[in-house]
Amino acid sequence: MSAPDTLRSINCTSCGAGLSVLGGGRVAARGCEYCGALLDAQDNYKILEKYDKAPRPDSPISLGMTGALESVDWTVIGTLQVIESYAGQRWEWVEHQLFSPTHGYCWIAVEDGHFSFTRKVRGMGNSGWWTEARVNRSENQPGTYWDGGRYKYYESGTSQIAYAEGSFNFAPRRGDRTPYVTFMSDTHQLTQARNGPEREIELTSYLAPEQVQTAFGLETVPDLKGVHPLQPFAAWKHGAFLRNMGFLSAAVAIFLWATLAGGSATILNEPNIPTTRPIALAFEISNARDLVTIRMTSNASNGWAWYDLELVDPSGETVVEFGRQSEFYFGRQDGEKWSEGARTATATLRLPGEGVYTLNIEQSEAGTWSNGTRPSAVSVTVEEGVKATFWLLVAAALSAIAGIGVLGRRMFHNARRWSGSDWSDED
Amino acid sequence: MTEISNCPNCGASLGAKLAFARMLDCDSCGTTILRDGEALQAAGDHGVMLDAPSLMAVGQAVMIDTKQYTPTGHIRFDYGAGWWDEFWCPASVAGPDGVWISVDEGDYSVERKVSTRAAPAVPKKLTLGAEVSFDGETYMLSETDQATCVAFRGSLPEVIGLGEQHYYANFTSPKGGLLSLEVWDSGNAWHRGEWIDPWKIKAVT
Repeated sequence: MSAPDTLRSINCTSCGAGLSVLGGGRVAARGCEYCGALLDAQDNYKILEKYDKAPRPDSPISLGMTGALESVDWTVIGTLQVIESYAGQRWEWVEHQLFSPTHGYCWIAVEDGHFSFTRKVRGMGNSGWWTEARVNRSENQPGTYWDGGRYKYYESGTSQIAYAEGSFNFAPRRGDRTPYVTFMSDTHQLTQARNGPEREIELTSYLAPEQVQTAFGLETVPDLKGVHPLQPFAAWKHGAFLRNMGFLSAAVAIFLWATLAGGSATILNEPNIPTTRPIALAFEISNARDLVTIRMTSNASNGWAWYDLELVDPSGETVVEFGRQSEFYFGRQDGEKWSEGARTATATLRLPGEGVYTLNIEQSEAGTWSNGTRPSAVSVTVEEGVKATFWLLVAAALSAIAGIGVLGRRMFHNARRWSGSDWSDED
Repeated sequence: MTEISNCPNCGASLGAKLAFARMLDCDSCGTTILRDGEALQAAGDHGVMLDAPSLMAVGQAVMIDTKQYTPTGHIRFDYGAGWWDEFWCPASVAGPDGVWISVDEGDYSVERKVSTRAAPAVPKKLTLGAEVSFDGETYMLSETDQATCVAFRGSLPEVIGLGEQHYYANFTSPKGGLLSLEVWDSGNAWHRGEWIDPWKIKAVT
């Protein structure tokens, strides 16, 4: 803890600019935001290093801001730009050092619009200290248990300080490199880092942008890019209900389909009736509760026919008049056989009552294509006791898709969380 | 000198905690009292304890994991750029055993005194990187400086003087173990530390 009201500002011993004094008694260095010099906070702000002035990294958070996170009041005392390069790729992010009189020094990081909170902890995990070389020698994905939680290897590398301004409880020189190995659980990252001779263990958790915005009174926060490794899954408000109802509805629909399917009976089967004259077919309906399907199949061969149909009830009244087409074409093109059209046409009806019905069929038009022949005969079947189970199957499929969709969102999110891991089982 | 159980300044009863305390503040008049054998004497100024936000306070019980600690005494050491606090938490209000809880800008540790027999030898030079062996582990000196006692409150198991200079050296092991050495004019003491996660310190209400 630093003594209050003793020193609130200093002049940079390199450029003379007025600098605020932030943090507590363990502040080791002060980076001048005007000239870039790094000053020794423990020794009258003597110049530790001079640097060329560099552009300040973009961040919605700035020195001196205050806010409550993790139930603790914090002041932003320092800003670092950290970079990492590997195989031609470059990553960069901003880390702000926070200070609390009761909880000491922590970090808030900003990367691709995402915020995370990092603090030092003790205990390196049950599998000991890891280095990138040890990871590379490992045949299986490394893991460790820490404070009762299981962490799986996520990534390793070496970060580098590119810019520093403000107060820090260490001296952040540009170019300082920190090798690290990071493990991850569902909610936290556990990082083993080596800063000079010091081995440090850091615990990181995700901060929702709106939480940071409220805590520090930010006017805006950056747009999010991609999924952060620690970003919690944003479950739909009624996702669990939708998932459960989806699978339940699918199960019920399939059960009903299995129960209802079948049980129909053919009550008329007349093959190859010549169509040169009108046709009249009688059939007796004994089950008017279910549907009746009339199925007509012509002998169309590169030809088509249009049939006018009339259904007459037992009292001689016309129940319905309708038409159906039968057509079938085939051939060979570029050495490939092809065919199209359907010789069979169907009509499914609900009839008003039981009794003997008459189906009148007349082939009113017909034609040919290429070397085809006009259809000259039709086979007719009539089935009663038919149930409309097709829509039950549709309902089952749609319900299952809803359930799978909810589950799939979570799996997809987890896959994206881990997509940045550099572990591959094929290594 | 005055009767053993009463404040030499105001005569108020000092209660059971006097039995094991070497120093304490009178709850009634605030006078610091030094216990010298069977006698008590006023020890003068106990310094200015500037108010600062803290998770620990004398008389305020806290739970750390599953253990409860109640500080009865508080010492503040100034190291120039700032200060740290030491809270004495006896095993019971009237017991001789207890622990110190060290508080240094969010770094909390429970420190238990290492017996003279188990204590490692003090390195000849207390320079960064100096090593000591303790309990099968090698500890490396990571910080050393001197600090001045600027204030104390409550009841304490040892006598400390305002303005007294203490040299301290903090050692850490690769596994994160803490070992601290205090050196003063008349002796030294080793304490073994156990780091405390500040988020696990809960005030008992």
